[in-house]
Amino acid sequence: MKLLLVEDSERLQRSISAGLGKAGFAVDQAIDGHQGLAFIQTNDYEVIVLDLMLPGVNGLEILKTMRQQGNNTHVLILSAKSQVEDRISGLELGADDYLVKPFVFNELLARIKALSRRKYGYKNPLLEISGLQINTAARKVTYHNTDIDLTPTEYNILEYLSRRKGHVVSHEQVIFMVYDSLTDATKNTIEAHVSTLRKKLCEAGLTQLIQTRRGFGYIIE
Amino acid sequence: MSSIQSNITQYILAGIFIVATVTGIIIDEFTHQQFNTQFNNTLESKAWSLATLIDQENGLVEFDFADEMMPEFEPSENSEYFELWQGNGKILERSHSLNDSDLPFVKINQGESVFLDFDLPDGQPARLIAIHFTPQVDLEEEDSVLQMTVQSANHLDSELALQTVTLVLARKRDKLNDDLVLNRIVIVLSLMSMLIVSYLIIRFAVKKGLSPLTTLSDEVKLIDDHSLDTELGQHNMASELTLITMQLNHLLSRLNAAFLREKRFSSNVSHELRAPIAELMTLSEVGKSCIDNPEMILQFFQDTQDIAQNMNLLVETLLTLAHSEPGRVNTNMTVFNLHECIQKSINRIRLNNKDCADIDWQCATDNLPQIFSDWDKLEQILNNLITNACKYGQRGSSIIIRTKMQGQQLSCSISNLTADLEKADLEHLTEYFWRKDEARSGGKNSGLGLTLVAILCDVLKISVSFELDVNQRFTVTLSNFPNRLELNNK
Repeated sequence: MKLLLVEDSERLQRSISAGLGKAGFAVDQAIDGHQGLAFIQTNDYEVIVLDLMLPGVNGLEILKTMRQQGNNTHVLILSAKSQVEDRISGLELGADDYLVKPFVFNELLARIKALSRRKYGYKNPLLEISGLQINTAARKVTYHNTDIDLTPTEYNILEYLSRRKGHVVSHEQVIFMVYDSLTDATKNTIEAHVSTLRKKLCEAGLTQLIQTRRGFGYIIE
Repeated sequence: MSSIQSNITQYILAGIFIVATVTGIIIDEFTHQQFNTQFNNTLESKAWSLATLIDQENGLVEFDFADEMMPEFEPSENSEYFELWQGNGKILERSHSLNDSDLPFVKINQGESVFLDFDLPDGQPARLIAIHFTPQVDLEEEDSVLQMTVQSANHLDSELALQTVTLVLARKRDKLNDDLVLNRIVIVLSLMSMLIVSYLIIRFAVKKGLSPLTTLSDEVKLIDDHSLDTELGQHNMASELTLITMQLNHLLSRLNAAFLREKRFSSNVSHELRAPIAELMTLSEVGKSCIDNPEMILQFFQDTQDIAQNMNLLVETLLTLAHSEPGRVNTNMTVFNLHECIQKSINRIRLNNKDCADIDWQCATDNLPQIFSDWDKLEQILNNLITNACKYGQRGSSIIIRTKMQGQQLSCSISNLTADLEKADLEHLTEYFWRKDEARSGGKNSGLGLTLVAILCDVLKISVSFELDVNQRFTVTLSNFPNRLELNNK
């Protein structure tokens, strides 16, 4: 799942990105307000983690601008400003959540996952399709009580397609959602991953889950 | 605890009581005298009236007393008394009211009179007047004034043969005594009434007079930690309280400022610590899950070390600030050349900060007077100012350090071009943790550099001022360095 992290502390950005990456998220990183706004205006993220005190354009300005432009991406404010007024003003400007620094990383992760689920209208972290169970919290896939061992990229592709069930997803969308902007992934890379994924699902007894729409992309029906 | 209201009331009442008591005593004494005088005068005039009824003829004294005309000498409740003695002490006449008793006989000289208080035989108090006189001679058949004149010499010659008498007239004193007592009671009651009325009036007047003080007291009572911005004495304040109110308001304002400063300081410190703590927590949590990535772990350790250094720098600066209050910090004052100190600072900054902008040192004269200051502290001031100029100066522009003499005063200015500083920011420059860009918090910029400069300048008695010209050149000027000339004068 693709996130944008707008944070001016390089160390915090580095550690949060590493942690989120480890949790299966693809993270784009912006070091100041201008960069963050540029990312937001050109990409469609699942969740944006936004610091408030940023060089250039501050976090509240970014939030205000993106909401005025009709961007409804879920935003989690991550700030050292802990006063109730700060939290209220952040939420009233359109933020979906507010986490005060210092924070426990797992809490940040849980909140991001919750926002991510909300984007697709799910509240249950357990996705179930044709007997296939995807535990988005534990990032675990089982079919008729048999675990299917997937790599993080394969899991991400499967979860993304499952969340978009009934919708055709293009290769570009998959690349965007699964890789961060710095990774140079191609259509062939995705096809290779999807092929491996299909093979593993087939071995578990599930065939024809991911279908190809030639010239368009993939779909789970 | 004594109250002003009761004290004033008590003092005024005590004063009124003393004045009223003295006045009461004087009035009492005066009326006492008046009553006695009137009583005595009445007694005396009556005695002399009786004396006119006494005459003598041929050595015989006659008292022409008519009982029916003077019933007061008859025995009754309000009787009066008289008794007449011949010169030889023989009783000539006494009033019926005396029955067989006698009035006291008083020996006095002729023509004299005397008053005397005594008790009547029935025990009642009375006063008498005794007069000793020669009754008039009854000159019968005096034909003419001429004859009298002729004979007068003969009469005078035989004067020694004339009889003298002593008349004692007495009257009961109980009415007088009653009047005196009544008079005294009236005076005492008047005094007491006056005191009570005075008390009520004084109490009301003092309460009314002190109402501004009460109002002020009520206003002060309502002030707590959260209402230190209250301004006292907005309504109905007496002119006598203006100065007190002004001082109280000034004190409150300083207290409020100190409270706000302390709150802001605590808030700033906690805010400054939030970011590095967040970094440390995330590094440690994420680091635990990345043990399979040694490169990342190494980077995390490096980050942790940087954070620790920054936090240490923050704590060190805070401690230096806390220990740098004037009067608390020890200074090692010596005489040295300012140029040497500036040169050392520049060298140190160039060594530690290779990205630092070009430093252009312009010295108006080589012959600068030596200054009397603390080398280490002055070097710290210069380091902070030049480092700030490097950090916040526009890329590609030079930092100008200028030393010059203005009259007898030496000054040193450090200036740099700045992009985002505004004139309104100048007053905030020395505030704790103030930064033009709030986003720079939590890093290597503690926001305490200029605060430390201001405090150290205060300690070293050096003036510091900030300027921003129309070309966005920001200048910090240090002036009023104590110099050798001043030292010699001292």
